[in-house]
Amino acid sequence: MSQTVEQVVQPCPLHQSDVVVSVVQDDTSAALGEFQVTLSGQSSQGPIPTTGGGFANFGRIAAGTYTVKVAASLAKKDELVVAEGQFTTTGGHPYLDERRATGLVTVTPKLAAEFTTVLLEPGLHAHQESTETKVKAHATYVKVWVEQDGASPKYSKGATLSVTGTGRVDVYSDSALSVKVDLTTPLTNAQLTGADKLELYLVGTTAGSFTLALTAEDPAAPGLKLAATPASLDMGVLALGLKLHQWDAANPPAPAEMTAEERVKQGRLLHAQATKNNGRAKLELSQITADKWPAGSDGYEVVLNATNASGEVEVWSAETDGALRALPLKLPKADLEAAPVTLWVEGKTATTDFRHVRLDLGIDRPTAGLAHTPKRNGNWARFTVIQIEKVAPKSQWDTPSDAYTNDRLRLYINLADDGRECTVKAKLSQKLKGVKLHFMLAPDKDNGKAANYGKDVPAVLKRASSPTDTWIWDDINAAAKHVDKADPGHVWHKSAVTDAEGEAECVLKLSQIGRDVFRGGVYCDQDPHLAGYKDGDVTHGARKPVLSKKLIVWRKLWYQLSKGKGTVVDAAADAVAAYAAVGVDLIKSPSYVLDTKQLPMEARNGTLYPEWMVSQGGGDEKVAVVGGHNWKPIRDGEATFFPAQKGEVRALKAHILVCAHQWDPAGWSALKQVRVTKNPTEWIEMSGNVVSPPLSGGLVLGRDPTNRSVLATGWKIMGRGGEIAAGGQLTEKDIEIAKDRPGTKYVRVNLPTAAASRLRDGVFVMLTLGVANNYLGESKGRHILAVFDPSDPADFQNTVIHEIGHSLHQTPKPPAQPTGMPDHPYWNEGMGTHCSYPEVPTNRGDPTIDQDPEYSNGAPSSTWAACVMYSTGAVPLAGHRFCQVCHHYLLPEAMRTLG
Amino acid sequence: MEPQDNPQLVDPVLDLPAAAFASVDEDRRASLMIRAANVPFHGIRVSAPHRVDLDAADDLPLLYARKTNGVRDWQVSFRPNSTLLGVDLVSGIVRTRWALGNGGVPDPRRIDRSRSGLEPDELAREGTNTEVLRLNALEVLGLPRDPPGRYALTVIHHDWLSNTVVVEVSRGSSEASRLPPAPLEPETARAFADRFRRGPAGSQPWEDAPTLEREGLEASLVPTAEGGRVLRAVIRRPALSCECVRAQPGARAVAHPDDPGTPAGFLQVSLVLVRLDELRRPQLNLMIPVVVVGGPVSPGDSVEAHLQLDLSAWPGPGAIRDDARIYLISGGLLAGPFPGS
Repeated sequence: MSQTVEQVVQPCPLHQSDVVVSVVQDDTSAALGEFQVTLSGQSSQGPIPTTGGGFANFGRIAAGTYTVKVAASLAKKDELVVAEGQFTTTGGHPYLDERRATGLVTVTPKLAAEFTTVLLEPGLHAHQESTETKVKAHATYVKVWVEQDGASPKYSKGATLSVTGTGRVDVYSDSALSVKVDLTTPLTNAQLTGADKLELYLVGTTAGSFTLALTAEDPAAPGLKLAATPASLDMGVLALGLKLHQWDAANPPAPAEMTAEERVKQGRLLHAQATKNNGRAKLELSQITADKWPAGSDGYEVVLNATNASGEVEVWSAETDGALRALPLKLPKADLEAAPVTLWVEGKTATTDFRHVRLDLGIDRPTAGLAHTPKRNGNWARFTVIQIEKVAPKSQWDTPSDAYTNDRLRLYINLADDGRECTVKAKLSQKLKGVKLHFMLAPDKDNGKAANYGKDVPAVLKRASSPTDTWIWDDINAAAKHVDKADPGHVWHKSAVTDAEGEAECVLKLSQIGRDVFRGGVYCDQDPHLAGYKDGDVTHGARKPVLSKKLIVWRKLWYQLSKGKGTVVDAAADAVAAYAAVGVDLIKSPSYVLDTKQLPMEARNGTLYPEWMVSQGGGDEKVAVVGGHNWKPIRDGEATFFPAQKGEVRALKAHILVCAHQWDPAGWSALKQVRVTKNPTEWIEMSGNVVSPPLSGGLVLGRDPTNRSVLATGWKIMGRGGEIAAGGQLTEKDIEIAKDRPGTKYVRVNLPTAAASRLRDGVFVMLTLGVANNYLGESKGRHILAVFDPSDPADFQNTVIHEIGHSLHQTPKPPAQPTGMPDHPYWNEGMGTHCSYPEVPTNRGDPTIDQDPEYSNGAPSSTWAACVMYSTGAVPLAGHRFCQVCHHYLLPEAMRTLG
Repeated sequence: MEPQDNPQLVDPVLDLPAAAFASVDEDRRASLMIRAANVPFHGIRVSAPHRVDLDAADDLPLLYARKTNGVRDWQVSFRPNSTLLGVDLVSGIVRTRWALGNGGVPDPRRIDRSRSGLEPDELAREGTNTEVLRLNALEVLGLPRDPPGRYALTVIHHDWLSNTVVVEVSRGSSEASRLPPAPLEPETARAFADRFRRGPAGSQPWEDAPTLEREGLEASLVPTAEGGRVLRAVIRRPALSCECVRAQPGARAVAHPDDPGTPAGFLQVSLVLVRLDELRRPQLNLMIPVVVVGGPVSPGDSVEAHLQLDLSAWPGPGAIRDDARIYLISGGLLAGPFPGS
């Protein structure tokens, strides 16, 4: 820019002026040489170099208007510039035109980065649903601008941003990363010189180092020059590796790294941690070697962040126990330089929906330079945290009984063909649909022990008791055991998927073993260790699935007494207790009183007798005598004599016909021969019980059936030579059965006159009478006979227990024992099958003879008591109980029917 | 107690053709009973066919006859005190069961107890009961139908022993269809020997212990200085296969029962204690390690064993009452009764 400093007007006749152009430093006014000054206009003058005083003297030249151009010498031309100017002379006066030289303006491109590291976009958003907000790696912004060190002239050109190196980035002009910048087109001067510096956003597309450079265009204008070098930054695109593991569905399950798609679409399932029961997910942060970091990244950290739409996870240093690592977890980059870092993710609180927790990896740095925000989403994975809130049998789901609440729920397995099936239900705390849950029946630690079974498994049922035994209780066939797996060898239990309410249910099968105790257990398939849960086990029992209250395998039976009016017993309380001991509820039905008129015709004789006739000292009320002669017609009339009650299952109801005696007709008595001295005779004791009418058949055998000439019942007088001097047959009317007889085997004879008149001659009486013998009881399916003796009510209880035991296949004759059970070691067959405990086991396949365990070493055992399934009569010490061996055969008895 | 008197006299009544045993029905039984009533015997007797083919018959019939007077019936009630003793002559297993129940269940509260009811007066004491009963030994003893076997059957009526009948039980026309039990494995044999050592009995011959030249069983009760009694027995009979020990190459047969080596063999012996009106019969089964010089026992070898049992050690204090009787059985050999005191 020129400046006219003064015009000197001299009178000049020739209209000429002396013209001198002075060149001075603009800011110092120092005279500057080495300039060539040229004038053009009225005439062309010069170029004339400036002298050391900065003057270019053109001498006298014609007045007029001139344009002044001042050019620097070659040495100065990149340093100084003199603006062109004009002046006008009027002639006659010298004219001094002063030109001021000014320095060149330097144009400098500028770059500044938020981070020297740009996160590599992992591309996981491609797996997100279209409706989701895409989760992308945070971009790193850079500021881009051009500076010039003088206001004028103003730089008017643009600049080019370039990326070179192995790392690659995409550059966006907006933080939303919606407008991609075309780096082949220079950034405009307006973008570069605006009031706010241009911010561009870099997203890594290829990991590696790169140089970001900004190169300004040639100003192509005087007074401007470009800075010596373009702006550049050494940066890097950083890949943050992440490996997340889950359990696969194989058998046995194995840990498997989740694919990127699985991490996004499926997410890792966790169960909210409860008392260290649940598993953690292995999360491995990949190693980042030092060369992956660009210069200037000192102090950078890798950060593990959590984003929770709902629910929460925690990160721990170990799979179990370990140290809690608070989120966000900042790891100095040095931590990852040497080796990967393994962390364990644990569910803390349940999410309200799937994949509501997201963990991502990012970076952060100390505060310095540009303002920065931590970069996130360099890699990420999603998590769903569930919580199994409730597990219970379906039957107890809505309104749990007190029994269930107090761990006393008995599940009656024998009331239906599918009675062993037990539907276990589970509910998540949140309504998540489609969660796969596994359902188990977890056996109680005391199964097989006295605490649950009431008795310990006796030594005789254990392999160790004898080298020839081949089984132990634990070896019981699977058919009797609970079923909660598709195959016993599987690790996984049966499974079901939650519905829209977050509920699932699964049908499991209880064992067939009464008094077994289970708990329904539920776990998710990311807790496979819980499949091995064993109650009470030190190793496998510490971590538990979500458990229900106790489910106790039990059976239900009913019993009803049908009896004569004179029979006072009305309940079998001890039998109820005995069966409770082997896992059976024995329910009493109202008793029924027999009446002769209601008996079927074929049973009207030989059923009801005055009590005195069958029991010495008895009253006149009638009591029942039942045996092989009349039982069947009574059984056939069960609808009358054992009326069904509401809720009963007839097949499971013991029809107990209570009799004063269970006598069977025993045919003819021993032939009794005795001398008599009076009429009626003395009481004569027969070899069996005698009643009238007899239970069946005739009362008297008069003659030898194969030789009718020989008397079987009669009287005789012997001659001196041993011959029969006189005699005759006795008939039924001669036999007297009176209320005052001394016992039920006694009769006396009213002798015919021919005999009575010769008593002094020595009359012998021969008696062969129809008699009955007593047995304790008998059972046919659900029909049972039981004797009640008022003097020994306890014995009645034993009988009921015993006979119901028969109806339940006790003592099982091989192979009638429950499927999978070995032969009963004390099984003994006679009239029915019984238990000979504690005698020598007879059928254990051992030809040698063991010592009677009860008498080993000469010490009688305190347990010397026969089993209630006695084969030789109840003994007092039987105590209404099954022996410890039979006890263990009743426990697994199916009890689907009686008989 | 009343002794038996010529019980064998009734044998002609009971001696039926083999096929007739199966057809003894109630009428036939009554007839036999009436015939027996006219035989002057006093005691018990049994009879059975020598061979029973279970493919052709349903049971193993055994006729059990008795004639008792009022004294005997008062002293020893007939029904509860009749015990059937069966010895499996192949395995040596001894079984005893109540004889009259066909394996059934007697009511212990209603059994006809001895010395109950009216004590017989003079007339009643002289009166007699004659009875022939047909038992099914298979059912009474709970014997298996398979495999068939050979059984020695005897009835014990408390202190009375009947004769013994041996019945070959077969299936079809096949002769010996039952394989003898396998010999004991050495390990099992050592376990049995060890158990015997720890048990109440000893197998040491006593001073002046007899040696039997032929098959037999000699037993006696010997008082001890402490006021107790020791049952001593010498048994010689052929060894059953299950009493032998499987030969073990290089193993040394034991020459002494206290020797911890593998026993040479065993003899099984059972003691049965019967008590008046007591339906339970404690039974002690012992496997006596036998003393053999020269090597393991082979089936059929005639071997001898000694037994000493302190009766205060079995079956326990107070168990052997005055009314008890002890029987000793080994294979087909039987000794007793030995009185309870």
